[in-house]
Order: sequence, then structure tokens, then C-alpha cells
Amino acid sequence: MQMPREYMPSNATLARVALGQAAQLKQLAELEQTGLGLTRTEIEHLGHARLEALATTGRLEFGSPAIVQIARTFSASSYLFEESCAETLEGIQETFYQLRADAPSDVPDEELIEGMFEAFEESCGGDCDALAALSVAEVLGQLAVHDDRESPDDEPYSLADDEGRVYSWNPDSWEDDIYAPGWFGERWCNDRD
Amino acid sequence: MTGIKVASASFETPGMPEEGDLLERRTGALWEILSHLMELHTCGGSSSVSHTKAYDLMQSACYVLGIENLLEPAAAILDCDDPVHAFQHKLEALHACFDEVEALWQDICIVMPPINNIALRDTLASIGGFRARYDTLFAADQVPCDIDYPLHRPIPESLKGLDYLQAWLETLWEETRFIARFDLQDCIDVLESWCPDYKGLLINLYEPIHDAYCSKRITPQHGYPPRPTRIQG
Repeated sequence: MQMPREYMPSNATLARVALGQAAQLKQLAELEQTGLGLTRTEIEHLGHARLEALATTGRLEFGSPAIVQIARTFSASSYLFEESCAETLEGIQETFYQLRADAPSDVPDEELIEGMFEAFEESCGGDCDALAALSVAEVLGQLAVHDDRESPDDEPYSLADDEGRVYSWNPDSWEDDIYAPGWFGERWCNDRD
Repeated sequence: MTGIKVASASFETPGMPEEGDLLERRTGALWEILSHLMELHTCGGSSSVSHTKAYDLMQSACYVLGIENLLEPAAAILDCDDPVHAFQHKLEALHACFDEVEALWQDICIVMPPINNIALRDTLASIGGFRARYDTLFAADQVPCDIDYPLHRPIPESLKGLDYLQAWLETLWEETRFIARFDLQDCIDVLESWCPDYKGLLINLYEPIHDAYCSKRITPQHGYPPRPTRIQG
């Protein structure tokens, strides 16, 4: 056993670690390959805007910057014009992090970005402000699909295998048993009651 | 929310240039470990997490690594080519401690006289399942048990994870082996006279029995019991 550790790292340590996000600017170079004609300056500006959006929404990004995936998806947009491309992407990026903060953690970035793209193309007509005004449920559109995906777990069901054995699940009869299996202190229950 | 402001964070200024390099290198290593944990946590579905979640992951990772700040000697574990591997190595070491803690729990269950105190019974029952609930990857600094039973000498709340659990059980073991020296009926008589609802209330069993012993109202019938279970090595 190691020596007991009484102290824990401070917020300052995490803040220091968070500076690693700035180092991800290298990965933003991938934006040059999206065919959107973004200049180095525009990419750098998007990188700074990303850090601001992350700070505003209280998030830390460890993986590949979401703007790369956003740019790839939105490169197919009919509302992305060369002269305003960087500005539009900046708005979309900001909206993404706001929606990401509100969205359930089991909704992947990809699904969120696809939902944003659909909304941007259809209901918003290429308007970033209209996109920013949408809720997560509206952007996803298929949030009900998520609910449907989870609902079978909440309802009782029975399954039968090839040999006729029936397996049933009823959440009402399920108890949250946190105790160790096989030991419930039975030995102690029989003293003078 | 942990209130971290990345853009305006104030950092301790390193005194020496070497210290600054060291800090930068170790910060990078911690970044790699947190990236790894974040990817596992989101199953690769998201590139970002909230500050709160990132802070929780860092607390857990730093507990596993045994470090508090990046400039202490223990943080030298991050001075390697593959910090994620070093982290996994530490995780294995933490898992290896499980047997020792579990054996201590078993010893207490065996040696503790069957005095029906609900808080003690439920707390021990809850601790018994800690192995299945202990999340070494994302919440190693947490204690995944309902610990209601009050010890005579409380454990510092600043202890984390398995360290807290082991310290708690070691203290309870000392109390248990003291109580086990006395006749069960003597113990129950003392407790009933001290607190009629000793079964239902959140009380410590050691204290009244120790008081009764000091005032010579009861005398021990046995010696201190040895630990029934011993982990090899």
C-alpha cells in the first residue's frame, strides 16, 4: 500500500493543462485540406475563436478540434461562400460548443454536427444567427430517436430462447442492491431482538 | 463548475528556467493521460468535456499517479516517453491493493462480535462490495461505499479513494479487536445501559465499552484476537 495521499491537485494545475488546447493549433492545419480556401490567417483566427468559445462554454477539448469536422461537413453546404466562409465557420463553431455544452454526453459530436448541418441547410437557410437560436432538441431533430432507443430498457419484456427458456425483465421488480453478494450481516441479525 | 478561466488563469511563476521546462514537460504528460481518459470516457464520440468532468478526471488520474502538483518529486513519474503506460502501471498497482483492503474487511466481519448495530452492519455490507463499484479509471479518488458508522477517531476527510477506505478499516479493526476481548453479553449490557436504542442509532460501539472497561465495570475475557486473514507478500 502506498503512503496515504491527503492532498489533491488544484484548479491551477488543470488550467495549466488546459493550455495544451492552444498546442492543438497544429491540428487546425487540416483545415487547409477541406477545400474551403481558408487562409493561414483565417485558420489562426478560427483557432483563437475556438479557445474563446471553449472558455465561454466551460469546456476543455482534448481530442482533434471540432472545427476540423465542422469544416469537413459544412464544406458541402450551399450557403458557404468563399468571401464569408471563415466568418460563417466561426459562428457555427461557437454555436457548436454552446450546443455541445447543452447536449447529453452520449450524443456524439458527429451527430450534433450533422444535425446542425441539416438545420443550417433547411430551416435556417444558411443563417448563423438562426442556427444559434435553435435548441439541442431542434438541432438534433431526432432526439425522439434517442428516447426511443432508450425506452425498451424502461419497459418490461420477455424473451424465449430456442430451448423454451423465458427471460423476463421488469424494472419495477429491480432493486438497487449495493451490498456485497453473499454477505448481508445475517449472523448479526439474530442477537437479542 | 470548478470556476476555471483558461484565458485568465494565473499560474505560479517558476523560479528557475529548468523548473519551467520541467513544468511544461509534465503538463504535456498529464495532458496525454487526460486525453486518453477523456477518449475512454466519451467512447471517442466527443472531442471535449466540461471543466467539471475534466477536473474530476484529473483528480482521479492524479490520485492514481500519487501526485498533488507537477513539481513535487512524485511527479517524476511523468518524466517518461509514454505517460499513459506509466498511468496504466499505477492503475495495476492500485488494483493490487484491493486484496489487502478486502482481507481487512473480511477480518473485521469475522472478528466483530454479533452486536446488532444497523449502521455498522450496513456500512460493512456496503464496503464488502467496493471492488465491483470502485471506478479506478474515472473516479479513483472517490469512496464508492455508504459509510455511516461513526468511528471513535474519525478518519481525515482529506484522504481519498482506497487510502480513505484502508485507513477507515484499519481504525475499525483496532476498535473491533478491542471489543472482541469482551463477552458478548457484557457488551450488550453496557450498550443497553448506555443507549437503549444502540441498534438503531448512529453510535460508536467502542466508546461505551472502552469507558466501561476503564471504570472496571467489565473485564476482558480474551486476549487481542490476531488477524484471521493475511495477504501473502
